[in-house]
Amino acid sequence: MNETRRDEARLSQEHLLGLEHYTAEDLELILQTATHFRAVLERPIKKVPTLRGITVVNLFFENSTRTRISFEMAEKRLSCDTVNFSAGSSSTQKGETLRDTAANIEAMKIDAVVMRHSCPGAPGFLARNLDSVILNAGDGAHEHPTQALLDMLSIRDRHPDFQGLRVTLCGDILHSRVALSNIYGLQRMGAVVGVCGPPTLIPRGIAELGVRVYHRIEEAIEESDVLNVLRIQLERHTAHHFPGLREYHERFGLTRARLEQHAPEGMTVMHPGPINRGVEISSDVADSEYSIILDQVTNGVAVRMAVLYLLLGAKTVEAS
Amino acid sequence: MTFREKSRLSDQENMARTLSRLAHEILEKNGGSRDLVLIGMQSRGVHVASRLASRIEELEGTRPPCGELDVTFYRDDWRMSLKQPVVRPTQIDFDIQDKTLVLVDDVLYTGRTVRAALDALMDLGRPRRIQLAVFVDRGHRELPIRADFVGRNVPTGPDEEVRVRMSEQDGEDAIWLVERQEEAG
Amino acid sequence: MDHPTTLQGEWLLAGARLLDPGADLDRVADLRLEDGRIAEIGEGLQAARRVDLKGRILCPGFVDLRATFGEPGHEERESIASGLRAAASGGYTAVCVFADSDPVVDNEGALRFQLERAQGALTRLLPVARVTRGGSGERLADLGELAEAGAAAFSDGPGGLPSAAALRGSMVYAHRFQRPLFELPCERSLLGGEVNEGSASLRSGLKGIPALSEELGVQRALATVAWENRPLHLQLLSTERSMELMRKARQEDLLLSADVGVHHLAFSEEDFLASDYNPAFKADPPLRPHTDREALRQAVREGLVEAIVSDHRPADFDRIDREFSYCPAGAASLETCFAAAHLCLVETGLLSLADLLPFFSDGPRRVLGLPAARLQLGEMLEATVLAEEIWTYREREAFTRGRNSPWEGREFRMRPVGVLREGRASGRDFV
Repeated sequence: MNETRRDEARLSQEHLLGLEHYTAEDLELILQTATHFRAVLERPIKKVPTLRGITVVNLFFENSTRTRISFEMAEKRLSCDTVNFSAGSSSTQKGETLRDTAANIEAMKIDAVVMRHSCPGAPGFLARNLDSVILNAGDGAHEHPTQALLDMLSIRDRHPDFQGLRVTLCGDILHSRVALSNIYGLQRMGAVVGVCGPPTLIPRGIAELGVRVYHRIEEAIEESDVLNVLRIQLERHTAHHFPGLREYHERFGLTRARLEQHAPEGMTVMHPGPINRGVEISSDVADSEYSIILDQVTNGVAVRMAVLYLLLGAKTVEAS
Repeated sequence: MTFREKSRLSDQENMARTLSRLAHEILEKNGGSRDLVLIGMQSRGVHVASRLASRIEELEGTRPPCGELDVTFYRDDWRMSLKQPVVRPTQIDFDIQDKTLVLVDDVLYTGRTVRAALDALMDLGRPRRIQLAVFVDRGHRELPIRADFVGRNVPTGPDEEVRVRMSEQDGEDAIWLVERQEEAG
Repeated sequence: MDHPTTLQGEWLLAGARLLDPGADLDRVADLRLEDGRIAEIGEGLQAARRVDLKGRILCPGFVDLRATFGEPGHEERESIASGLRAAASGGYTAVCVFADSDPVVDNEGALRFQLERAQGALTRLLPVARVTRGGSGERLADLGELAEAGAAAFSDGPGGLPSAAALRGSMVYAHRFQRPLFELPCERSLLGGEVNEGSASLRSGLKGIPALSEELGVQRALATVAWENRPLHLQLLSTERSMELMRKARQEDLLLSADVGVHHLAFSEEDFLASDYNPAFKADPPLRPHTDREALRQAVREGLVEAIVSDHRPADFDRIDREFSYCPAGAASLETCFAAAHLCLVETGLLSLADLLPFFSDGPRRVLGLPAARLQLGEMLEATVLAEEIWTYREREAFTRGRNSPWEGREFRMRPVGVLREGRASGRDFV
């Protein structure tokens, strides 16, 4: 009888650099744990003392108000001490390297770093150079694991079984940090993932990831249970990607008329935000019964509480 | 860590009698089941609470509201343990405001879990009073906490632990004294 | 390799396997030198001084067509002295040096500075001067003056020549001075990425460079060479399509030659993906799919390229101890190039050792218009000594200052252990 192992709840990974190496068991554990934290968020007192004494640094080299606030909220709900560090107020402008910046912060005795950085792979670089737990809050167009996890938690509320569930990501897949994490996570849980967008915004060779590719939004609607509409980031597009917002909305935008004509029963529409109303999604969809956009935001805090809890858990003894 | 079963302290019949006595004591002390709510602590306290509620229902005709509490988020010792605790549901579908709340667990030991439970309950509302009912008190308290209702006192040695096994979860009703064994190899 | 030994007078190099495929020579024999010149080849020879080379292979000296040093301006990456020592350690008797320097080598003064710094080193420095002023791709540099001062070849900056007009003009004008023009073929409007567009960019989130960029560059070069009927040498071809174009050029007897970089023969984008953003696997052109790597190996076998080059691009620790995107492309590779080529071409059974040697000696010399180094009577001996032994590359023991080798800690089975040129020798057998 081995009782210590029986109720152990440990992730297979030390950090959250991406979902690429997370197993289905890991993901299940995170989503389960997140539902308990969501229950905490429904209470009058939304804070638990779980991570009292733990210090988390939010290291944001790129602006991302939403993600930072969501992480900060999760940290505070868990009673962590948080420190925010953003590139604007930092010494990186004076030419300090990432390693030095991070090492200096770590020398102040911290436990975890949440990092947003424009360079893919930067969180892994940090993980190799620091002793702290690293959580990737988005690294360039690579991964954004907590976004995918909150998307998955939101999907599960409406569609309890991932097995065979058809989830399609629509829009700018090429520049997205959300797409890859969603593809890895959803596929591991048994979902069938598709992508849809102008061919210029779909990365070459994406089929090797085992996703379906649609270039017509109507077709994507017909063959999906969930549509996750990604933001069109104007600043990233050259004239060679697509001609303009008007044509984008006309050809690829998610409108109520399109949904009513093509959507299967019980379709769910998601968006990681911030929304460009009237571009990738129209208001009569974003604010409709199809949409679970605001649930995603709530779930974002719960999922981040869950990963912080699971990654910062039972670590002290490991060393001794 | 592995444990060897040392001796069986209670069987099914014994446990049922103890449970019945605890129900009587709770009713007696509180003058009936009015404003009484039971909260079982995850995981086996939940089963003890549910059985107590059923027994009270038999005695009083009404079943007191019965909830489940997981205290993982409130523990002060989980980061020092080797295992990462599995979070279990907290399910309290009724108002605990101004109620007489009986907190139920299977074994009372250091008192730290009860301390965590008190903190958790304070975050959930303001009961008029909180009482503690346990199936077994095995001693070795680390905090100034005592139970209001005790099924059985079992003094334990440094290498001993008490396992309450319940048919809902473990396939049998029994209380075992177990002994920690040296890890092989 | 630090201090060359002078082989004045009579020396006997005893018992080596003399391997010079270009001279149809493959025998174990003694070689007697008089003031560095081959005086006698045979068994049981005698001489005043003797070096035992039993078990070694002696072959024509290696020439590299592409290595980058940082002096002046970036000596922390590689000085001329450290780079030439690394080259000797890698078995090279001559190396074409691209100056990753500040200022660039586009004038006689800068070129003479390079040559002066190389004096005394055993390995010969062959300067590759910029074909345009400042490497800007706009106005031609003074090629005549540079050729006279010792430029071995011309080339532009790392991005290649910017337009068809610049390529055409450079090619035609450089030919007047009998110096080859080296070009990295690409279409600039398709550059701007960091890894191969495909699996690598898809899975890493890094921006992709499509093979299309290189292939358009090769097509442009092919058409320009056909039009002008003047020679051009393309460097670091990395894709299967590029090799098909080279086959076409060969069929049409065009004056187009090419080389491949050892990284592209050894690695693929899968290796990059498995490396967890290790900057030593950031290459320019990027590492391609393994199907391209196989095609390159076959192309070498088929003889579609003249040379295998090290494309030595050393970076010091500080330059690579940062985010992948901020790290320079390239790898320190002079000391591992031959061993790595042996690993992926000979040890895989594609080529024999004798088949591999011309890509390191006769081929590059042909591109540069230099005479072959033969192991024949009357020749000044210019040779590389090889040892068949298992060894492990360690940056800390290497001569290069570069810390960006993808081979750190890896094992090889063939090792250059000495070089001989102009009556001097260095390496462990000559101390």
